[in-house]
Amino acid sequence: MSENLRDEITPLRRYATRKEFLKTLGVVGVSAAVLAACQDKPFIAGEDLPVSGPTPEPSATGLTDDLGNPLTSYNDIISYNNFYEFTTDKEGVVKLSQEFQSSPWAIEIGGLVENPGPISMEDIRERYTSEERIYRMRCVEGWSMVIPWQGFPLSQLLEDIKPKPEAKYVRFESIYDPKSLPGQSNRYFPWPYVEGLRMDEAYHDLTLLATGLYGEDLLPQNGAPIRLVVPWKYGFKSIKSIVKIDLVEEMPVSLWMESAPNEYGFYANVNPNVDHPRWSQATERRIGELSRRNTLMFNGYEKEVGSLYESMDLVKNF
Amino acid sequence: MKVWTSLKTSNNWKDLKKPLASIMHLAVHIGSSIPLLVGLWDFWQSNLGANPIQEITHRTGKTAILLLILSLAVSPLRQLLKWNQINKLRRPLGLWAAFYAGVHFSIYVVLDYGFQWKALLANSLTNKFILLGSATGLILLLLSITSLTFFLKKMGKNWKKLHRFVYAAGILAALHFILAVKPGVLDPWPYALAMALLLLFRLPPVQTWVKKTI
Repeated sequence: MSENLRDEITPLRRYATRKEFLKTLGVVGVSAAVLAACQDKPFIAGEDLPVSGPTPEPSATGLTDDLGNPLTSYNDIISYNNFYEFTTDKEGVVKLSQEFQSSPWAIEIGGLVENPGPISMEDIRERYTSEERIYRMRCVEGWSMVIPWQGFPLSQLLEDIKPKPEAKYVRFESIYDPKSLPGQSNRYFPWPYVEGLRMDEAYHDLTLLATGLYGEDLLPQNGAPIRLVVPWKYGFKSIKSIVKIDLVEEMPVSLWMESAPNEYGFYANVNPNVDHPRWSQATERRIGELSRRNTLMFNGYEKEVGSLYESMDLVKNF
Repeated sequence: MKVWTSLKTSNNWKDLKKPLASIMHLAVHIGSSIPLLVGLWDFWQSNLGANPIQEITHRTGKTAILLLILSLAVSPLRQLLKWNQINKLRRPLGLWAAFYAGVHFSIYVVLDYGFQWKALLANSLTNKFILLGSATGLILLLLSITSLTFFLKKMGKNWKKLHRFVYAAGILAALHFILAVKPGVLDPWPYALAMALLLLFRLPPVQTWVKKTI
């Protein structure tokens, strides 16, 4: 990509996103806004820009997570993905997902809510202010990353859609479209991908609906245009490319619970003391590092979420 | 079928058997060293992706099981083609399989767990697929050592009995691979299927049928 072209495009991007940019200024805080301005770069990329534009120049305002861990490189985050809707090969997802259409997009809200109906991505971007959250992501397979997400707490959406009192769980569903998602022809899995959260988990401030990372819109391989991020649970709970959110009374059965009930439970909290039936969860490899790290209880968010599970047997409720 | 019979009976084929087997012997060594060279090159070029240790673990493991499959394919081919000369491919294929299995194991112990013995032991003892892999490795190590002509001569009949353990190694290696991946991941199945067919070929009823037909 030539520098000239980049120079030409940057002002266009700023123009196209000026409205959102100004909105962001007020929310992320002065220091963040100043930093972003210094980097000459908006927080939220415009929707009307071509997807295959110049190579993104990712930037995050923060440099580390709450424990002082450095961010995983943008390149690793966008090229090492578990997204079985495309392929089970983590490094094959990026290639197979580039044609994926994540616009136009809407989430269908249903079930036990006062305000059902579809919400378009435009509405979501308009209504909810994006903020940066730097979270650790621990995959059940034993690797982890530190990712600067852009998104907003799920609780904000829940407050708008107004769950009825009898709602006990939130059920999420990913897109089902075998024509554009070649991995969905693997009939072993009961597509579409389904995940769920208990009400208190869903309302927790850490629980995020993410629309971007490193200051860029989510790429298809990371779950464009909108995904869940629940940092204290194994990565598979953070369902990608959400098309449906239902409030329900019964505990939802996730795709993984249905595929391998003895291996993947509903809670899936990161826990170094409860092994996967076929491997240990005591340690993990942080992508970009050579030696293993000890896995932390609730992925290091015990202070924030430990109280949600106080009276629970975490071995039984894995 | 016609090609098959003409191939078996033609004089050309008879004359080719010996030189072709010698060429294949050389090809085994060249072919088996390619994954190693490619791996070293990719390491040098930082071309191993976001999780390089896992990448080389998977690559060496797959190469080991592939070579084990090829070594187990030699005897059926010898029988079907009446080609005794290719028997000499068994030893190099088996030794190369054991070499990659050894590298695979060393990566796990030295690079992956980097002398974090407690974590290594915790993972190894609780996990079936690690135990299965270790058992496979031990068998291949034992068979490699005793593959020396010295042992072949010294052990007599027992040598053949001992080297039948390669069948166990094949089954264990396939199970190790299957249990190492998440359910629904299909990567191990072509290997497992090939292994199963080659082992089925050894069953007495199948052997009786083969000997009668050929």
